[in-house]
Amino acid sequence: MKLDRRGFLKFAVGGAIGTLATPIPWDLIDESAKFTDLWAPEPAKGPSSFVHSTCRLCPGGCGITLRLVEDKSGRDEWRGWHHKEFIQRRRLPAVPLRAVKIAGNPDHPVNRGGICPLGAAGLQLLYGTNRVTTPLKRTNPRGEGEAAWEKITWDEALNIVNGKLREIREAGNPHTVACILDNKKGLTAELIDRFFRAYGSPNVITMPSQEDVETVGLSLMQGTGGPLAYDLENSKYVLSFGAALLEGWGAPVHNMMVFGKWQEANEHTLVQIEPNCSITASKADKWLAVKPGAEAALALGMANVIVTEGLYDRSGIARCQGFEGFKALLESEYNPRKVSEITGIPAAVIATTARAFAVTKPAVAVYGRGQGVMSGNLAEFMSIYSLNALVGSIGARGGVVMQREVPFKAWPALATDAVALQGLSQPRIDGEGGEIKHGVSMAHNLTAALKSGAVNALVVHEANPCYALPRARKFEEAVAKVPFVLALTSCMNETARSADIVLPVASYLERLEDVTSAARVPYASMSLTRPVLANVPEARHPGDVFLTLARAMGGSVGSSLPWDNFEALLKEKVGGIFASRRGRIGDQEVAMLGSSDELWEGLNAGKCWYEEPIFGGGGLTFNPQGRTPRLEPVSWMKASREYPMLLVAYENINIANRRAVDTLPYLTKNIDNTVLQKHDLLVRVNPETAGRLRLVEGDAATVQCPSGRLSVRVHMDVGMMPDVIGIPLGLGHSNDDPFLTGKGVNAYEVLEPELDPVTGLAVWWGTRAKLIKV
Amino acid sequence: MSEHQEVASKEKYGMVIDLDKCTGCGACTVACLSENNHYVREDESDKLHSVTWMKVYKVTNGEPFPNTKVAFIPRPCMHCDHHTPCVSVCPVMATDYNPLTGIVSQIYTRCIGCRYCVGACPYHARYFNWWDPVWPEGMHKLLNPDMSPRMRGVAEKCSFCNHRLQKAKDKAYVEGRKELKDGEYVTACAEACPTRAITFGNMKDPESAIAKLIKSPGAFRLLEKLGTQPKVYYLSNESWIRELGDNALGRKKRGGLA
Repeated sequence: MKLDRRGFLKFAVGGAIGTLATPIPWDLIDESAKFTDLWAPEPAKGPSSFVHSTCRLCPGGCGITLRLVEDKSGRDEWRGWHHKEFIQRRRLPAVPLRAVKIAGNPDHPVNRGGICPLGAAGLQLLYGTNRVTTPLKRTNPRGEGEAAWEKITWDEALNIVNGKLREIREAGNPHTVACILDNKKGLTAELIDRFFRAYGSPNVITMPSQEDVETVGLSLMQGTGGPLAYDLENSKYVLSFGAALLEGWGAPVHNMMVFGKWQEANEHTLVQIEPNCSITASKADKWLAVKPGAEAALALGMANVIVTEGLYDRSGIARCQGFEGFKALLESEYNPRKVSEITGIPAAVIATTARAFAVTKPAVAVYGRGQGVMSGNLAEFMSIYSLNALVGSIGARGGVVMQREVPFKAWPALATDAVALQGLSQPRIDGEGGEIKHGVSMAHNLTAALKSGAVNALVVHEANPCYALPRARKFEEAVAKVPFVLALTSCMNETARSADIVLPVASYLERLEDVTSAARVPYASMSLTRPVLANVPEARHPGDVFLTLARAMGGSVGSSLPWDNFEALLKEKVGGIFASRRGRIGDQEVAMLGSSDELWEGLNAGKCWYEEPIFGGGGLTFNPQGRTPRLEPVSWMKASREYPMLLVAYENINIANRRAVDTLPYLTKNIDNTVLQKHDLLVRVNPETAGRLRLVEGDAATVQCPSGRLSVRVHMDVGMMPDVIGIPLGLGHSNDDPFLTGKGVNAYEVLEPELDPVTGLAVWWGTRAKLIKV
Repeated sequence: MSEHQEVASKEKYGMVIDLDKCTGCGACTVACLSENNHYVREDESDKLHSVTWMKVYKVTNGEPFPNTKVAFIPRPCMHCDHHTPCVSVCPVMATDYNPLTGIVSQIYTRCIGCRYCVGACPYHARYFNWWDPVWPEGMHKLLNPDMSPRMRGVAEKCSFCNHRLQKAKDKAYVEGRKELKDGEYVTACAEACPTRAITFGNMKDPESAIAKLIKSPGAFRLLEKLGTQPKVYYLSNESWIRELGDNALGRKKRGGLA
C-alpha cells in the first residue's frame, strides 16, 4: 500500500482522535501526576510525653511546655560517643525523642499558659537549616569574598582559641581582647564576664538596649541601677510614652496577658503616646499622636499641669529632692501652650490627660520606644520618669518598682594576677561615658575602636553586631580589621560569617541554663531552660566552653573559674536561693523546703522560682547633680531642605529583632504583604505625603538618608503621621537562611546614632530622609 | 442542599474570639501551623499561595490620621452550621458536616482537587495545595504524629483540631466518662493566645464559658446575612468592627482591610 501525503495526514489525525477516545492519554496524565507527587511525609508515631522548660528567645522568659514524641527516624545520630556522654551527664532519656510542639506553661507566673509567635515557633530554631553543626575554621582570609569553612574538632578549635588568647596575654595585652554579648543577664553572661576579667580585659560589651539609659538615669535620680519594672497589672492608668506594650516590649506575653485582664475588668485606662498608629496605639483607650521625639516634652507639659494645679502627691514629693528646681523649669519653659506647639497635641488634651493621670490611683508613666532596643537620651528618660514621682507611684503598687536580684550564691573573689590587674586598669575601648562617667556599655563606639587597631581579638557570644548595630555595615568593615575573631552561635549569622572560628553552642532547648527575671515584670523570678534533647550533638554549652578554656589557660583564669561544668556552677548558685529563704517555687515556700536539693529538683522539673513584689514608697531627685531634664532635639530631627522627611524605625512582633535569633520560618507567614512583598520591603507612608510625591501603593522608591540609601516599595498607611516614613527593623538578612536572606533591607544600616552629650550613649531610632520615586 | 440532619447530640463545638482583646500577634497562627503540620514556602509574602488555616486579618476604620485605628480579625474555618457551602458543593464527599459535633471535616485522601469548595467558601478559609509540601532537611522531625500532612492537589482547612477531640474523648473513655469537661478539648490557637481572646468549647453545654460568651451584647458573626450560621463568634464593643463583620458590596464604608 502506498502512503501519500493525504493518506498520512488522515492516518495521523484519525489516530490522534482515536487515541483520545481511549483512556490512554487520561491515564498517562493521571499516572504522571501521581508518579511525580512526592507525597507528604508520614510523621513517625510514638508515645508522647511533656516537659516544662523556659523560653529565652527574648527577655520575656516565658515558661514553656514541650511535647516530645519517640523518634524512630534518626537513631544513627545517637551513636556518637559525645552524645553518650551528653546523655549520661544530662540524664537524658535513653530513647531518642523529637520535639513536636511548644506551648505556654500554665503554671509559670510570667505567662500563665500564653505564648507569643516567636516562642511557639522555637522548634524551627532547634531543627533549623541554619544550625552550625561542628566547629568551623575559616580557610580564606576575611574580607575577601564569601567565607570558606573547614570543619574541625572541638579540640582543634579550642587549641587555636587558647593559643591566640594565651599569645595576647603573654605579650601583656589582655585588654586588647574584646567580647560582645547580647546582654549581661544570667549566669552564662556573668561567667563570660568573669572569664575576661580574670584574663585581664575590661572589654565585655553588651548590645545597645533601652536599659542602658535607664540604668544611668536611675543611678542618678534614685541611686539604684534598676532594672526598672512596672506593676502594670495593678495600675489603673497607664501612660505609655512610645513603649510597644502589646507588640513585644518587656515580657511580651506577660503584657498581653495583663492587657487581656484589663479588657475584662474594664477599669484600666491605657494612653499611648507615639507619632504613628501602632497596634498598641489602636488598642489603647486613647492615642495621642505626638510629633516624633516630642514625647518627653509632652511629659513635662503634663507635669506642669499636675504641679500648677496642685494635683501632685504631697507625701510622695516630700520624699523627693529638687522639686523646687523642677517646678521652676516646668513653669518657665513647659506651659501647656508652649508644649502644644512642640508636640502637636492641643493644650486642652494635655491638661485633661494630665488631670486624669494625677487623680486616678494607681497610675504609672512608662518610658520606652518600641520593643526596647532603640533608645532616647537621658533628659527624655528623666522627664518621663519624673511623672511617676509626681503621682506617688515610685515603689508603689501599680507603679514602678525595682526588680530585686535573684539571690544566687555570690561569686567567690576573683583571682587576678599582675597581667590581669594591669589589663583591667586600662580604659574600656568603648569609652566610659559623656559628661557623666558610668559603666554602661556603649557598643556604638566599637566601630571606631576596632578600626583604630585597639583590638587584637574579638569574641562574639550569641549576638549579631554585624547585623544589628546602628550603621551595621561600617561595623562589619571594622571587624575585618581585627586580627582574630571568634563567634559562638547556634545558627549561622552575619557576624559568624565574619569570624575566623565559629563554635556551635547548644540552643536553648539543648542546654541547662538559668533564665532570670522576665524584663519589666515587677518581681524577681528564675526558671531553667533544660536540655530536652540534642539535635546537634556537637553543640556545647557556652558556659562549658569558657570553663574548658579557663582550665586550659590555668593561672588566675583557671583558679577564678574552678567549676567542672556549668551544671555544677548553677547548682552551687541555686544554693544561695535556698539559703535566702526568699520566694516560692511553684506553690511551695522556699522557707519550707528541707534542702537545696529539693529546690534544685523542683527547678529541674520545670518549676519557676519567684517572689511577690515588694512595694514601698520611694523618692527621687528631680535634678541630680543640678541637672534638670533639659530637652534638646536630636540634630537629625531638625528638618532640612535636602532631607525633608523623618525615617522612623518600628518593630513588629513577628520579625525577630531582640536577641541572637532571627525570624523563624513560621513567622514569615505572619508578616503582612504590606510589610514585605517577595524581596521588597515596604515602608509606611501617609497617603497624603505619598500623593505629594506622586507615589501610589506598591511603587518602588529609594529612601535617601545622610548615611546611605535603601531600595524599598511604598505602602500607603493612613495611620502614619505625614512626612514620616516608617521602616521595620529586622529584615534584610544575609545569613544563608533561605527563608530570610535577601528579603527586604536592613534599616540598621542607615540609622544614625547621635551621642547624648551627657551620657555618651547613642540616641537612635530614626534619621532624616528623603523619599524618591524610582 | 437541605438542612443538616438533626441528631440528638449534647455537643456542638464553637469558638468565640474577643476582638477587643486580640492584638494581632499571630501566636494563634503559629500554634496552628505547628500543631497541624504546615510547611513553609520560601516566599510566604505571596498571600495567594500562603496556607494559613488560622489567618489574622488586619482591618482599619479608615479614618484619616490621627483618628486611625486598626484591629485584627483572626479567621479560622467558621464550621458553618447551616447550608455549609463547601459541603454543599463537594462532589466526592471529601468534606462533611459531623452532626454529632458540628465540626466540618476534610478528608484529604478523598479530595480530588476540583477546588469547588475553595470557591464556595465565603470566608476564604479553604486553601489548595498547589505544590508538594517540602520540609527542609531535619525539619520533618517537628511533625505532629496526630496530624497527617497534606499532599499536593488537595484542599485543606481548619479542623477545629479534631484530633484533639479524639484524644480528649479517648482520655475521658479511659476514665469512664462519657462527657468532656469544659476546657478539656481546646484548639491549639485557643491554647496559645496570650491575651486569652479565644475561647473554645461546647456551645450546647449551658455551663461552658463559650455558651455564656455567645450571648454577650457585642457578639456577632462574619457575613451573618448569608445564613450560613458560623460557629465562630466574635466580640467587640467597637461598632466599626462589628459593621465590618457584615461587609457587602455596594455599601459605602470607610473601613476595610488594612
